Amino acid sequence: VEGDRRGNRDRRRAAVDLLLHTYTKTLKETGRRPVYAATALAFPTAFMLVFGAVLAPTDESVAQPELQSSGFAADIASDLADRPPFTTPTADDAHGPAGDAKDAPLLATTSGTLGGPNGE
Amino acid sequence: MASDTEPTLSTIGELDVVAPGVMLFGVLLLTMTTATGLARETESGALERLRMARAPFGAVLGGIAAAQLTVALVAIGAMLLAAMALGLDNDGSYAALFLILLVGAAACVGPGVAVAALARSRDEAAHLALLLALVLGFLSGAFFHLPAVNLGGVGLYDLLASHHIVAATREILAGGTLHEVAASVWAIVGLGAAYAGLGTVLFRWRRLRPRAAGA
Repeated sequence: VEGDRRGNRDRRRAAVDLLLHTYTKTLKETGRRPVYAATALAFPTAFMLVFGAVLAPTDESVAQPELQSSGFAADIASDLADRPPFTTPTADDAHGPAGDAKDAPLLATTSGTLGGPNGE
Repeated sequence: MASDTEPTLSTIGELDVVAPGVMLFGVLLLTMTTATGLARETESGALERLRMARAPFGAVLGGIAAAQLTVALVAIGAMLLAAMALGLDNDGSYAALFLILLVGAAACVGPGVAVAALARSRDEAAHLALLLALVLGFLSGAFFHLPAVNLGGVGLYDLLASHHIVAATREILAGGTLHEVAASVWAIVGLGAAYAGLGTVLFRWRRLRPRAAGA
């Protein structure tokens, strides 16, 4: 039993050592290969800088917001404006008046309701 | 909604529209770190030796995943600092953005492992990972509206963590809170775990299976 316990402990220690070894080795290798390091570390920032420089609002676009009234930007704005308001359920929602619970469908779907109180 | 003002056409600029996509690519590129890390271990024969020594593959994967998250911490931090410097119109919290992107980076471990399972060399892994990042990036809906694709009642894009990363990021930029995007964050966590499981199974099957003599 003592041998098993020691064996398990040694295996756990070996696994942790292997994890740490792989961790440091991977980081060192990433740093040693400039292409990979640049891709992982510098590209996201470079993308942001390039897009930011190209797409930052100009005096013209601020003065003429209607320039953005069509296309993908308009769709995004519309989606965000149309989303339902987020409300945190309160105790009243869970234990409302008896009439509310009786009348409410169990599951509302986009195409109707399922499973009303009487099994409709 | 947390913000006082609803997003309107005049408050959403082009940079605000593409920013979630740029951030997503920053995260997806980290797939390459995982893929090349594992492919290097395969190429060098280290995994074969570990297999013969019955060393736990989970420890190797955990080490590579932890290294990837360390790289992600730096990369995402620098990217968000650049966004702040450029005056990105963020009505939400940068901390929430950071957390979502970090969870997204963790979700990229699985695809990286799957790529490493299919690639025969480190360079091939890097190329495949970049290709996968591009596909996942474009299917996220970050740059254009995608046609709805239904797979037996489930939307195709709902199965992609990249789609949820963009949705959550966009919501935060529009003034949402972490509480409001909790569903997307949990979807990223769940899909990331599923990808990691599938990637590990694929890697074990392709790379850690004992080979018949002469195979």
